[in-house]
Amino acid sequence: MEKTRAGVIAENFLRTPLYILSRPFKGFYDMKYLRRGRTHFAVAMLALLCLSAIMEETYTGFAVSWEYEPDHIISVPYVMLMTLLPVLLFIAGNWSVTSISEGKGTARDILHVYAYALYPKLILTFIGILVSNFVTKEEGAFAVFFFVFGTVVFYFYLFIGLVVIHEYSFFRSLLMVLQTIFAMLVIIFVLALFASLVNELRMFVVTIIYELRMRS
Amino acid sequence: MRRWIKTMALALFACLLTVLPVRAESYVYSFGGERFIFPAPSLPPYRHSRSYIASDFGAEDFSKLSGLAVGGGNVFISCGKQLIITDYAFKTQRIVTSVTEDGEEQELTDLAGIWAADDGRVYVCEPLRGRVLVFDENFEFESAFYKPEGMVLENVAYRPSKVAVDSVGRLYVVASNVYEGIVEINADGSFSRYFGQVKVVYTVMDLFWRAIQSAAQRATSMTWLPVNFSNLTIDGDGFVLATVAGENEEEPIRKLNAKGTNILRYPKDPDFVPMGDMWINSFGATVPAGPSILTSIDSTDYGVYFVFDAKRSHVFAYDEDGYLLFVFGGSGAGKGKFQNVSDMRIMGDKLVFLDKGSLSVEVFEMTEFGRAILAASEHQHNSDFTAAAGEWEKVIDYNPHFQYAYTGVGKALYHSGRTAEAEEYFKTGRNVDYFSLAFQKNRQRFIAGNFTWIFVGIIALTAAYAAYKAVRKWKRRERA
Repeated sequence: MEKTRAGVIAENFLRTPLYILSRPFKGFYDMKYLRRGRTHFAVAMLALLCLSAIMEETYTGFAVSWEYEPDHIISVPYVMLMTLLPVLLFIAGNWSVTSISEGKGTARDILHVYAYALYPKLILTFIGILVSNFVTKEEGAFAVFFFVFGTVVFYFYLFIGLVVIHEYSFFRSLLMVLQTIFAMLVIIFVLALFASLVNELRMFVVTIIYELRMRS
Repeated sequence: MRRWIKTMALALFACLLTVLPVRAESYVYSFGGERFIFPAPSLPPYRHSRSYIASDFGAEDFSKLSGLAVGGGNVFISCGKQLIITDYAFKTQRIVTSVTEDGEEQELTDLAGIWAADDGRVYVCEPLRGRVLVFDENFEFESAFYKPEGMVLENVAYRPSKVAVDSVGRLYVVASNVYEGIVEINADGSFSRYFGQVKVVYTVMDLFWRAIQSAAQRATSMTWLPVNFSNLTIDGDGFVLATVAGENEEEPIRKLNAKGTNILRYPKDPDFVPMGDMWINSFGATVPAGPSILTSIDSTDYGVYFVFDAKRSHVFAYDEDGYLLFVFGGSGAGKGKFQNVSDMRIMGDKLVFLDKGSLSVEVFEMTEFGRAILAASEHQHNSDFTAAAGEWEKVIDYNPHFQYAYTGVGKALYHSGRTAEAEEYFKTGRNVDYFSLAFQKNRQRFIAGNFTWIFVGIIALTAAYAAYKAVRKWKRRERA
């Protein structure tokens, strides 16, 4: 049976993620070795993650967010940066840690795992945003439940996915988690160091230009 | 062009700054974002009107200003050995320096807290002699309450420093070195009980260190004593309102019921406990750091109470529900600033402060802004929400950033059944509790009004889904 365009989309965005999430160990294995993971799916998930972050900021109900600004302005590039940077940081951190300790996963695999783990979280977040507009303060827990449960599920699938793609034992994986966090911190540290150095360099050049201008 | 507009805007802003006199010194706490509270500048609710120095009253000096009471058309000020009595215009009526007890004339020693009772009697603490003096309405000495029989104190003298008297003549005395709470004395002078003790709070770490100490260490280490109250008053409903001395109290303002438990109302959100400043610096070499230390409290008949923070010299006003109404004051030597305030009382539209740092009695007058806020609170206390809403509208006109005013307007709308508008107002007032009430009503109304359509919709959707399933099943069978 020839696949229509709608069929392909249904396959990539509905059947594959549900297949992976319903049997995570086999699913992530297939994702990696049977090449069922799709990079455009991952990109779409990241885009949706940005969208969900923006929507959380703007559309979460007052009873849950306690936030109300009549002309609420959010900086979309900033929100996107703050959502995507941690993802990049995690992928970089995890990949740098695992690639030197016999992890079998590539950066692409890590991205795929991240994206498929995001899938339920995104759905739950959108449901949570919707529900938060129909609850009072006392019922706010119903909405918060979706947010919290989404995050828990996300970490759960992320962990399993990483275990499968790197082919680690359980305890080795726990160590990997700690190492990844450490690696992320190191990257942040180096970046901050770099930023301050660049700033100093910039100040140096600016001062020289200023000096020259004063003299001429 | 752009620059020109900018300059104009700046000039306008500068003008605004000059018209608002004590702008930075009066503020109110606002909600900004998720449970984030910050001080938003507000108009002054009270403005400095006059200062009086000792010679204005014909008194000796003001270096020992201590207690203040207002009532029955008179102001009573205790200052060292003298009890100064003036009328509301601050014209001296009399200065009492001695009393005649049992035919024996006694020079007064340093006086402390005063209470002016509704029946015209005046109660004055005299700590060094361990008694509370009572004067009648003609300022003549009547009797004295000494340390009551049956009150056991170990090795410490009874030194009453603050006193309040309820409508049946019971005395509530805060005495230094007494850690059991407020001393309640019956009208006949007998000891009734200790009242409303502040509980000692210790952390797990404290207990841990205590546990590993040796007996000798334990004997020499500091004892854990509960803190005492710093001041007290009786509110319009006859309850004792007291401020707890010392920092880091969970509930520094207490409204004590007959059992001695705290029944002070405040919004459900724990961040809104009436406690003075909520936005504080924890460190500071030259500026005061840490939470407020409340030393004075006075209450109106309609539930609004004022507390004075001695640390930053600010006055805080709360309504009966524990919402912050305004903050003003500030420490300094300038006009409208305080140096070392020992007591504060409400006198009608005015607030009177005893400032023993600047050796003066400071009188503040209500502004129109403050009047609107307090009038609104009074109407609210009397459950006249419509009248309150009118005042709150005025407050919003004065200061559109005053969030609690929107809640006030919303309450009126809510009570008159206009819950949809009320919901918007509660939202603008960032009041989640009231918002939830209004929202629930609206939701209920919506569902009740559209029940038929919702029901039909659900049935239709279910039917459509069943039909879709049936068709697919039929098609599949066809294909097979």
